[in-house]
Amino acid sequence: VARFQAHGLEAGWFDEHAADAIARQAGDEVERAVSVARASPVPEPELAAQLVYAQASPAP
Amino acid sequence: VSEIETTFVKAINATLARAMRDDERLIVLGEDVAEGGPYGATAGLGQEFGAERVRNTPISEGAICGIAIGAAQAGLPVVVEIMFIDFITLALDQLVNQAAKAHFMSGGQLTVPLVLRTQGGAGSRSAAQHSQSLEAWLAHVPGLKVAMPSSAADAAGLLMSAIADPNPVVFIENKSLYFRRERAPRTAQPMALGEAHVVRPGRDVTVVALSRLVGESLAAADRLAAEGIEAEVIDPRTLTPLDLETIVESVRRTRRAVVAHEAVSHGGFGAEIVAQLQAAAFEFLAAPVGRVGAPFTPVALSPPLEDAYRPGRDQVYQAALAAIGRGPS
Repeated sequence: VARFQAHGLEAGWFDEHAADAIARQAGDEVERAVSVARASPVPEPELAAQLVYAQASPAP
Repeated sequence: VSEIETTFVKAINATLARAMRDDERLIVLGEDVAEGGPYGATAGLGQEFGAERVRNTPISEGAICGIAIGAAQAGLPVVVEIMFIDFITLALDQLVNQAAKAHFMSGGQLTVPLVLRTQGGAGSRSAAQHSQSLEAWLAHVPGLKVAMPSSAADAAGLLMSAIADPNPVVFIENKSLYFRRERAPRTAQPMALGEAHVVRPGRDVTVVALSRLVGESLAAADRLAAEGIEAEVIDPRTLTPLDLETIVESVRRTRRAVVAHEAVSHGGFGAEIVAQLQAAAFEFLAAPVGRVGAPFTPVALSPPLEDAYRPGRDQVYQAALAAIGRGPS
């Protein structure tokens, strides 16, 4: 990521301000996801078996 | 039901063509598929549907599978051909670590509507690297479905269901069944994955057979019938999901069972059927469940050695006799 960011800055794809904004945005998204996960109930063991196979969508 | 004379490989071909006509998103990928593949299973598809939908790939099974999984996850239904099941070793990372787990690891957000067609089996003098039966590896992986049709009619019906299924389905054909002339419905109907077929009813012994061994077991049943023994032959059709209920219901009546497949017995899927059967119906069994499978060796190129390796009707006959206490085990 660091190499890509350096290359992007050098190539003029974005400036440092935009790169910082992207990093902040990504960090916020991760923090929100972690918060939701921590606030969620512990999954029931049965959930594991339910997620092994997708169910066919009902016919329209 | 109106029937036609066809072959297994023609049934596959016709089903693929029909599915591609019905769903213009469906694509076919694989080595030489636009030229029909080594046995003609995809013959004519390139001409009818064009190079955008019938794509020849480089000889790189991992790449083929990876591309297919990505396309499927993005909503493009895919049928991939891996030319020989022996080469699936090169695609297992994509198949086992990606396709089989995407739905689970994404919390149900991703699906992989992928059919991986391949063929295996000995008998064509193709030696150790083009003759194996490796279905047990695939049936061991949660997230994959595994189908092994034994007839042209089943190949068509199961392939239709596999293509419609939102999960990765490994569809294992047996090359020695490809060109046998058979009767099949003129218009195939989908067959549910996970429903066994009682191919021949019988009262004395249940034979659970996979793929080519279904026909071999029917031949053994004819020979047994001439001696007054009625064998019930069951084709599970799919290993995952496995229709244990039909097998158990049969064994409750016959009280004796044999499991038969072409793969090496050691670690083969027959062992799984035996284990599930004894757990579900131990009190009904009057004898140990017999097993028919190949010896624990690679398939030899030498014709006499290959012939000796390949299990068939004689082994099923002997195992059935042993199960009912009339012959050597």
